[in-house]
Amino acid sequence: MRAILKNIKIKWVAYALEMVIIFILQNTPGLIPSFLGQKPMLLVIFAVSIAIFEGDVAGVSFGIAAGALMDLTASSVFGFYTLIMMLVGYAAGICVIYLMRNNLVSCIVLSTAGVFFLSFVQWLFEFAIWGDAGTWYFLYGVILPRMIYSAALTPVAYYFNRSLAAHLSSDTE
Amino acid sequence: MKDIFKGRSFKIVIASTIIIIGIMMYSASVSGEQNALASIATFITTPIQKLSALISGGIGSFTNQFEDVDSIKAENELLEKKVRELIAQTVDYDDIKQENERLREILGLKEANPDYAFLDATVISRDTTDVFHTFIIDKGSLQDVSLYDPVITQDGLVGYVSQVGPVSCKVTTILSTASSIGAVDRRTRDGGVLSGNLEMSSLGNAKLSYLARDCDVAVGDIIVTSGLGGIFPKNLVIGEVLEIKPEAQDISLYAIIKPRADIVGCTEVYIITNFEGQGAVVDGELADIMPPQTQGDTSSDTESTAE
Repeated sequence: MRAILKNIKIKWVAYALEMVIIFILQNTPGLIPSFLGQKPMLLVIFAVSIAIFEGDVAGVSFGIAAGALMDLTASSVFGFYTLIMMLVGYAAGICVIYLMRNNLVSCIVLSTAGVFFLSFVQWLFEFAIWGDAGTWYFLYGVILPRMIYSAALTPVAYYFNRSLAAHLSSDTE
Repeated sequence: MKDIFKGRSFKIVIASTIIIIGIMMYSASVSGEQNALASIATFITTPIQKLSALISGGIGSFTNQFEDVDSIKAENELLEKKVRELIAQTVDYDDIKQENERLREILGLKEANPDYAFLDATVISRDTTDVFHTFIIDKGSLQDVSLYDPVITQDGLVGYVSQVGPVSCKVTTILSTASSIGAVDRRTRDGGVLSGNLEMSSLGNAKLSYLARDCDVAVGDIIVTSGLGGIFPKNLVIGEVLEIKPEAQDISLYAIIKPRADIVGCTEVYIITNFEGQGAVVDGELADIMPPQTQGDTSSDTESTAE
């Protein structure tokens, strides 16, 4: 019993560590190259893949944690990305439980949708409602490259988290 | 599907939403300061980010050696040629000394601006969600950094401190729509307001608005800070004029400005923590950089600084 509990704890600690490492990778200047001037939303991919393998409650929890990390460096009000990421994690978990299969394609679709949702809400609240000039540029010049770049990196996160989940889950059995 | 609303996760989402909205409202009310949670978190994350920025910089410079081997080779040949030419020349020692002093004056901001109090800082994190290249530096209120302190590189203005934590602070760049800086043409003294623009910022450029229709601003002119408002020192180089166009909404002109500083790629910056005339805001005069909703706060801030 103790061994099982220990392994469960190790799994969540491993996920938490992965999240912190991804946060550092995502925000360290000059580490990840840009694609059409945009960087991938690695924490979104992370939250989605956790939700896919561990369910909606884990998706919500890690969505909140990842969003809070994003809020630390973001220029928006603290809590903005926490809220969005929580919804992304929850939606991904629910979609895999009720609507989609747990496979790579679902992960790519949900990650891309997550990036779109996050960027769209950002666009809506930071630019569109203020009527900022050049606001349409955000849709095709920012959101689209972000989605493509994130989608391209999703398989890495998917297979990594799948092996992590399978390995640590099998240890608990 | 009906179970969705009865599930544990749905209840967690509702409860978390209420808590997060509460945190957001609290954060919005203390604009310019990090909230307690964020301050604690930055105490933990700042050293890690500092280390990762250091490693990233090291890796970058190491790999650049191999990426740029051809250009380095060509540059090396060019330099060797120049060295031979220089050796062949007989140059008076005093001339070299004078030249050296002149270059030091141009390049060394400290020498050129003795009234500036500098603090050097390292960029430890960049906000990937922000299209205006907001970044975090490794100096905070414990090192005497204050809200709205100007941030520069040797080449020119980068932005200002928009949020101060104990060990780190957030820098909003001049490419952001949140900043509006009083700026003048160094040659003609025609003035305008420099601000960010979504489309221009993607190319690393800013917009100088409200130029009079009959102004003499020309392509290639150097744009500097006006110094009005007491937030930025006077005559701080911002960039040069790339293009001048008529504004669509009114009769004024606007200029596209290419900042001198490498805002997107800078890793080392200087914070001007003190300069002559800082905080000298005349009553009723708008501060240089404040977005309308925070202007009131700034005036009181800067006035108290002046006192």
